[in-house]
Amino acid sequence: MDYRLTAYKDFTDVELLELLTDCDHAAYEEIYHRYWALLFKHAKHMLGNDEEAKDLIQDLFIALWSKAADLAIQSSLSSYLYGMVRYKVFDLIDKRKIRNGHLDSLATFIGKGEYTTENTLRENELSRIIEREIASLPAKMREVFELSRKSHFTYQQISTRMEISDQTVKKQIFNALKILRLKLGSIYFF
Amino acid sequence: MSKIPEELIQKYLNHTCTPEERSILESWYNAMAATEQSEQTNLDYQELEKTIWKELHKKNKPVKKINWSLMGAAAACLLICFLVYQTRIPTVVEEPAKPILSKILPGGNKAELILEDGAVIPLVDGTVGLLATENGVAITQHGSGRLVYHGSHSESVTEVKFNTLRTPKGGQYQIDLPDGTRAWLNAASSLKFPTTFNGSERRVELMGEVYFEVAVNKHQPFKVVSQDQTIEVLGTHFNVNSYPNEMVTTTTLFEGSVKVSASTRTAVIQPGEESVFNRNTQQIKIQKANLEEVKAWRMGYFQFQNEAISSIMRKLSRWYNMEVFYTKDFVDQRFNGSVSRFEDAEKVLKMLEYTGTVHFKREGRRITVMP
Repeated sequence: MDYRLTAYKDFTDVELLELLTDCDHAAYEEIYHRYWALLFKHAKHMLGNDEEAKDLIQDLFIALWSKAADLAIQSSLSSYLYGMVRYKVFDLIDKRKIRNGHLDSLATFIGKGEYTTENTLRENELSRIIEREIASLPAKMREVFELSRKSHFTYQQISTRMEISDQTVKKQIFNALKILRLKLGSIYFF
Repeated sequence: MSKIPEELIQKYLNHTCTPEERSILESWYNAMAATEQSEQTNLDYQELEKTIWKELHKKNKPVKKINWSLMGAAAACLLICFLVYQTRIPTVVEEPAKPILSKILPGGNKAELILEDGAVIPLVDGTVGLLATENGVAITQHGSGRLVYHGSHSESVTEVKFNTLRTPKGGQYQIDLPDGTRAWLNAASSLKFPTTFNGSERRVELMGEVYFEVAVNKHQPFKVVSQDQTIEVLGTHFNVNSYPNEMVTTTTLFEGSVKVSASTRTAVIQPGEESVFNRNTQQIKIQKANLEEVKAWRMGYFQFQNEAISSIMRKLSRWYNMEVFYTKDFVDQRFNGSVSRFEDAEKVLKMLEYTGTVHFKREGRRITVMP
């Protein structure tokens, strides 16, 4: 996972989703890289357990790839992914695989009778709650997510911010090789 | 509506719950999600990311795309094994009579000018001087493949005529348009332009690859139209690559500022950047450009940076006017390197063959590529 196709880093969620439905594995990989940490944090919070959260994320991404071609997402990629976590959490509660406290808490909540009726409101609320966790993620993961949100960033700006050393080194090697190649006038297999 | 938690959840999982039931469950979920996070454990996120990915890779159904680099490595191994095997067995080979093949010479300054009325004027290196006049515009040929339009400043010219400069395979040409804008055409390209730029904008149409140095005129934006995009500039130096047999149209900016419009998208690029419009996905991507690579053709050489052989062969076929075919077991290897554009084709192909990963068979102007 060290090498990510640079072009895909700059694709917006919308673009990645389009590519994913074409079974583009590089797009899938980028989606994983962009969202796994956030989804993991959220799953961990809901399940109270690292191992179970890890399993949930794995199952989620396996499912995502297997139905890639048939995806018809009405909302956004992020909402869809958060919804997948939610569904799996309910599934685990149903199978009694996680703490029973959830059922009691739910019973109490039903009793109160206060809830949001609007689908979009709930969806946006969940997105906000999950994305708040960005702040507590490791710096590198945080930056990737935030940058991907700002779709008007051009590649140049992103690379300036994040990979200065990579670019400089790459450019130096390239320049040196180029001079060498021109002098030898030969083509070699890289 | 059920008030029993277990029942609600089961209905939710079966997608049989009512909107009200769904609202309750999801609102509760949000409330749970919003509660305070417990103490942060020191998780190694980097490690975890890799671990999960490894598992995914194992369990996911195989990726449709073929791993070319892996195939290439496998092919190279097979080739080495085969060669070793071959050298062990002494064989007597009869040398067949070799036909004398004429050289495939590199391209040069070749083009033709097509006037509005359809007249075709061939442009060949050597002839210098006044070529024609169109609507009071003098068209002259300078040395070394350069055509100059001396714009007419007379306001009386109302009728605008369109001319097209076209290069064949193996040709290249430079032109000075009536407003002083310079354009360099690569092989198998064409540029359609008016003999006078009157009107609110200066508009040209291109196919293939053209590099522009647009004369500054703030009152008349310069527009370049190609197969699927329009570029708007004020005064700039940029390269457009828009061949019909390439999947993308690339616009690389050297100086100035350029706005690219394609399909329903627009992009403004800065010097050192290029816009890449993909005909399949109909998307524009902006990325850092390799200016050296894009400049190469005008400077007299080919430059390949991690470029697939199929793409290299398309470039070579345009310059050398060859037809390229591939065998069934062909592997689309990637190459790095640069070579002068003015070598014979054989030399270039031989250099590629030295890597041992690709071979060519030549019959006249037909080249067959094989592993």
